[in-house]
Amino acid sequence: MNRITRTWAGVFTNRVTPTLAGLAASAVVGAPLLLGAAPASAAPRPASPTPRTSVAAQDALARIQANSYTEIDRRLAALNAAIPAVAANRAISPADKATLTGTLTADVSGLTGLRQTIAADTTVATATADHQKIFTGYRVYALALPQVRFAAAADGITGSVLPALTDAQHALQELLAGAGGGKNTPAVQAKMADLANQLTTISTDTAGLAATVLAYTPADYDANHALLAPSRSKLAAARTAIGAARADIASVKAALG
Amino acid sequence: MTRLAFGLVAVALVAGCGQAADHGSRKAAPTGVITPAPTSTVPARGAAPAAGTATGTSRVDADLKSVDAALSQVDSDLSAGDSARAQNDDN
Repeated sequence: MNRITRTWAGVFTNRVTPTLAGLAASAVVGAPLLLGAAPASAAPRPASPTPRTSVAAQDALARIQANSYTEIDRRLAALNAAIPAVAANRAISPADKATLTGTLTADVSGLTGLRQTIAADTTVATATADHQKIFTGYRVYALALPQVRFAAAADGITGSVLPALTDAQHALQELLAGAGGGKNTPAVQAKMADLANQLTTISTDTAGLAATVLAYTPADYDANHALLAPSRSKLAAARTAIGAARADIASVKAALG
Repeated sequence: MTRLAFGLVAVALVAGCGQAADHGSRKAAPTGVITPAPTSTVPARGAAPAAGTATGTSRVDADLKSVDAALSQVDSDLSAGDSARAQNDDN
């Protein structure tokens, strides 16, 4: 709900796809000419629009509406697939799951309403403006769905991967301090030191990351299209550190026999 | 008389054996039996891993399996997020 309200509060831009722009231009710009909006020196304009003008405008309106339906339905399908996926994802924390479900459900509701609004539009101008809201009001692909996935990845790392890696680290420390003490060579110690560094990197890179990602709105995205890049970079760095930590653990375990 | 004497001797012998058996059952283990030294759980270097080491490495194995299972989901999420971002979402 807030997602739509915030965005609709003046965030819309005037960007239009070439196809839609041409469509609208031919109807809007062409209409005055057909209507007789010619220079003053030209012949007197007709008193009423010609039938040809009405047909052109109606065609343009129909095309905008059809294009809008396609875009909306594609997004609704993606959102409706994401909602049960979020519910089934055990990596996402309950709090984040509630936030994500709320966002996705609100987007479904908003886009469904927007579809009805566009269906009821009677002019090219209003249909064009409403068509833009499909993108600027929701950013389903650019923001909403990545939010779901990146927050899930962050929760998966902090809630599952990092605890398991840390437990393995502790198990190895106990082994090296006890029965496997004789195998605590400098090489093994170097692996254990690297493991500690990698765990710190993972923890640092993912701390608060899910909350950060979930806080972004379509308005934030419209102001900065690279909004998710830093979070994605942190996830990539954490993922690399996980691989290194896992290799360290396997190496020390092999040394222990 | 002779039979009576033989019978008494026989009873006395049986009773004596039973007492000896009873007594033996209450005694502690013979001091001659050597109990294994507790130090036997510490392996010599190069020997097979002891039970404690095996338990520890099993725990590590279980942790790594958990990591791999969770990573599979993490990688899937990252890939799907990237795929969504790759789609045109501009008007």
